[in-house]
Amino acid sequence: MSVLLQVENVTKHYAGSVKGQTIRAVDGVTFELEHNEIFACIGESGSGKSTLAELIVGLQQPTSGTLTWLDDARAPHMSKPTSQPQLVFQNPDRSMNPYWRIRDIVTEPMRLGGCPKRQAYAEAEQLLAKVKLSADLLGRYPHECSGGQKQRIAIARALSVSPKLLIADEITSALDPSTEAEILQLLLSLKQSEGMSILYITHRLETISGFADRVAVMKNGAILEMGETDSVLADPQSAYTIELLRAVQYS
Amino acid sequence: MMRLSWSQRIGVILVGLLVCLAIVGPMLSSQSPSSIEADRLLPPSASHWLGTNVIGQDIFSRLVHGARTTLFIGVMAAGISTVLSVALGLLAGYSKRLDPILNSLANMLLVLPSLLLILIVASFTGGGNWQLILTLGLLTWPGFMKLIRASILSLKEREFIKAAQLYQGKTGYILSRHLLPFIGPLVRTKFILSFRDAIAMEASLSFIGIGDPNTVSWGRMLQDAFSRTQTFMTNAWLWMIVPPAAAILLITVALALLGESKSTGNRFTAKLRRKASHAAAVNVVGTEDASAVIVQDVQVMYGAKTIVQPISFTVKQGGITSLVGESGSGKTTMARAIYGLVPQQSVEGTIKINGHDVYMQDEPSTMQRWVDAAYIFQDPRNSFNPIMTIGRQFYEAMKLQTTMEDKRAAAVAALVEVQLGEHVLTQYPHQLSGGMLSRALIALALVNKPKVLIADEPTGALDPIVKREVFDLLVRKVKEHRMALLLITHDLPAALHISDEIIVLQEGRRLSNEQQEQYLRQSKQLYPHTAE
Amino acid sequence: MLRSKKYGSYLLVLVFVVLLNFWLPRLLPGGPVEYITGGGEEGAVFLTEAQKAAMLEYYHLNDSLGSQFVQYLKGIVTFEFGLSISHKAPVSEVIMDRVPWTLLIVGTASVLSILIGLLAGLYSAWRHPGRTDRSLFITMLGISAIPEFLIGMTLLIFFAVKLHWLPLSGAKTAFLRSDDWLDHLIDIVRHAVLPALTLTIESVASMYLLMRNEAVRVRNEPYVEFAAAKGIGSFRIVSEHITRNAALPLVTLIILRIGFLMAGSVLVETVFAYPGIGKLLQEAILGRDYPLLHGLFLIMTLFVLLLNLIADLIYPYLDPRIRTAGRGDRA
Repeated sequence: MSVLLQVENVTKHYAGSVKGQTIRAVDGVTFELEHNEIFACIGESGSGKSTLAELIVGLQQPTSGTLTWLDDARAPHMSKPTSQPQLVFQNPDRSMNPYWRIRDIVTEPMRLGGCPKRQAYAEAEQLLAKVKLSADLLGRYPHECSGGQKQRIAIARALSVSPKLLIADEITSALDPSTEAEILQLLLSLKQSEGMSILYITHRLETISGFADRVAVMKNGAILEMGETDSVLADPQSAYTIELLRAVQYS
Repeated sequence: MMRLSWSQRIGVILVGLLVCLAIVGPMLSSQSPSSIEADRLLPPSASHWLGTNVIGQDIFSRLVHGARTTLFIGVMAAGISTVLSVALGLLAGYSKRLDPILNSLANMLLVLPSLLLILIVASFTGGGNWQLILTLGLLTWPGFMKLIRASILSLKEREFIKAAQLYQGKTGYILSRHLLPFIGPLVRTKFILSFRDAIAMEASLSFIGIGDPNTVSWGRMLQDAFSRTQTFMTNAWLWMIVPPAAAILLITVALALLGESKSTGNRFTAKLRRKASHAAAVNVVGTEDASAVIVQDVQVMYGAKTIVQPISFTVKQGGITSLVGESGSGKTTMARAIYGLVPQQSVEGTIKINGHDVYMQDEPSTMQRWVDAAYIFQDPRNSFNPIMTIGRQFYEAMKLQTTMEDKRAAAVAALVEVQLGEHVLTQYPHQLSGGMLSRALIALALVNKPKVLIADEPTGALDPIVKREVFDLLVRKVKEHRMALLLITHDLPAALHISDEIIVLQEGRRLSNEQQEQYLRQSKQLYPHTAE
Repeated sequence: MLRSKKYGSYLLVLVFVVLLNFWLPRLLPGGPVEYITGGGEEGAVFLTEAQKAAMLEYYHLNDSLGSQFVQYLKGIVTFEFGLSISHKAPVSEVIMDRVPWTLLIVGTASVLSILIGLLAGLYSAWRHPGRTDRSLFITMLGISAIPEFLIGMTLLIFFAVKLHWLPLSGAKTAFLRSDDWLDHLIDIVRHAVLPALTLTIESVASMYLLMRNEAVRVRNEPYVEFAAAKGIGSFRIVSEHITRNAALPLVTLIILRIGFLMAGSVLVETVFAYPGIGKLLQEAILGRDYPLLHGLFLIMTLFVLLLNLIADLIYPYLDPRIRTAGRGDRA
């Protein structure tokens, strides 16, 4: 497999609320994302995983370190120019403007990218089909959709610019277990059909088996452990991962 | 379309009437408002509907022409003030660079009472209508500008704004397309209140004597009447003062009613009408039945909507029952209903805790809260009062001890049970971590040694490792104290692990046995790693 | 750090007011300067030659702008606002003569309205949602909208003009022939009743609205329901949990309302011809007594700033979250 993104020794520090204190949200993180893989990033709140996501998409700039995109190996069916990595957020109620119809929400990135409104609207139906939603939803408002539907819509919005990397930041944490399973299934099939990579951020270790190809465990802004999902789950190396695994097992 | 409350409807009608008066009135009156044709101080008659004033001007004519002046000044000043509030509020909220300047300018204007500022400026500008409009418009924007700014500041943190920035949306696009719709209600309120304030201010200034003596306005009419002693010698005040005063009163009150902002949503809570719990002298336990909690044909309604369909179950003494379901399944409502936290009229059926009826017709329940049973809420951070020490929040719930020393000793003992130190008693909630607060909450639930504990997602807000610790602690304590536990959770593996009985709720309905078995089988396949 | 920023903003307000005071008369069309220098046609009618001379001297209009400003600043620092044109006495003296009357009615109204307003607000929140709460709320909303002078006028017509229960105007009977101090006291109280009542009514409504809305919000907080779940009696929930938590964010606002009351006294004192600084301000405006006007404006601003300062100083002592900030991190 070829490398899509190299993250090298990236740090992000903030000034703390107390004078002179610095918060190391991300502290020297190094890893590589490959084409067409699902990479899971596990961590508790405050572990820096969401900051990492915002650094990758460019919503924040790293204090030090480099992010290098290696996009020469573009998949042949990606007709559009290199597109931004896309971020799907945790809470769908906050990631969609409640005053907008689904049609406008889904096509926002296209329209801002210069695509005429008419054409964007025409493509909206296909986008919803990609996330297995009916086109009936296009005329609705977000509050008229269920939580699972909203996350699918958010994914469809991200797909509209054919990204090569989709970052899913805790997108199932507000969902019920059965809906969560459906969303994971959808992401798996999208990985195949769209040929993209997915960075899947979560605090729930139990959800990634059979889903993510590789996993990194983060704590306090640093990666403690990284490897193939199955081997990490079967034979965790760091004490923290062992503890995490134990916390969700009932015997 | 939004629905108006009855008070807002009254407001709409009154404002409408006065606007009609201002439009149609001057056409009805034949006299000019400032011509002096009639005798002085004539009482109302067919030719002078509202009589004449001290110098013989027709009052009806002055009233309807005054309505035009007053409404004109009100609308224009409110318009300027609203536009400024919105524009500056949006800019300050969105632009980090402009915010310090705009915000401190607003703060400066806000420190001074606006009446004082307007008085001073108006006293120097002298008072044409336009001077007044500009003064009012330019000096009254800061209040709502701050509200709009605050609302933008919080909206800016919403992810759809981040997303739009990610898609390279320009500032103007984000402000107008994303943010403007949110402040619509604020703008409406601001305009109405500014309108009202401008009218009141114009009347006040005219009454004091500031302004152009040649314009006719309601405030000016009052000043004319009030400054002359003849007004009060006879009944002349009846037609000289009452009409303009009533007009000002009506328009300001009507606008206030119209501009009323919607009150914060009422939660589905029982009324605050309860006496304090007390520890019963003899702890009567339902002897005929070994059940700690009995739920019989209970149905919970919210308005016309049924949230929980009729359901029956029991929790045995010392047993653990889990109520499992997805969000919206009605499990939390069920738990709240069992503890008596929803309005009585919403609950049908019988609920007994420790043999006491939780809902009784026309009299308070004999179930003593926190003595017969305790209830732990989802988020410990929201359960504790943020400005009260943990200690006080323990003492106020303790019923078994009477003296302060005893209470303190018992509270310390309870804290030790959950591995917390004594110092926690003097601390405030914000000084403790989420895990510590959860432990403190468990300790608090134990202080009166209740026989029943209802726990609604007690670990929902915690990170996995702490979550497991707290969960294990809770179960251990429940078993040690031989309490009955009703656990509300969506975490099926955890529930399966500890419960004697599991009840699955789906859309307010309890699953039948076969449905439930199928549900459990499916769920186990979701996360093979959670059960060994 | 935050606090010093706050004091800085007060200083800024002071500078702003000082500048406003200086520039308003010089820049605005229709201001005194235009009257004198331009000899404005309509307005000048009201000015005698002597008044013109007095004003020229007061504003130092013959000097350069720079030295005018220096003179002006010097006056402020030494509390020398010059001679009042209409009273022919030093401005500070004229003001100090009137201050006690305003303090009397504003003080009474503040105490009464805070007490009544807060209690009514709490009562309303306690009965929320319900008909009692709703009707009380609508009534207060209506009252708060009515301009003060209308309330004053209504009270005046009923209690003084029609019923003759209370005096029409003034602060005391001019030549009260009695040696008994009690008679004098009663006389003063009888004169103060209506103005103070007017201010109180207006202010009760706004205090009520503040308290009620905040208390309703607090009443819906989960910790209040949790307190109820703990088996605490409703009275103690209202007195211990709702009152404290709702009043805390209001402390600053309530103290600032006292400043509003003082501004409102301009109208109320005009209605009742009550000889406080509000009435004085009205007289100064109408009589174009600019030295007096500047002095009053400055004094009133200082008073409001002082109230702000007090509010900021006491707030940290009331809110444990601020008091213990920083300490918690180490715990």
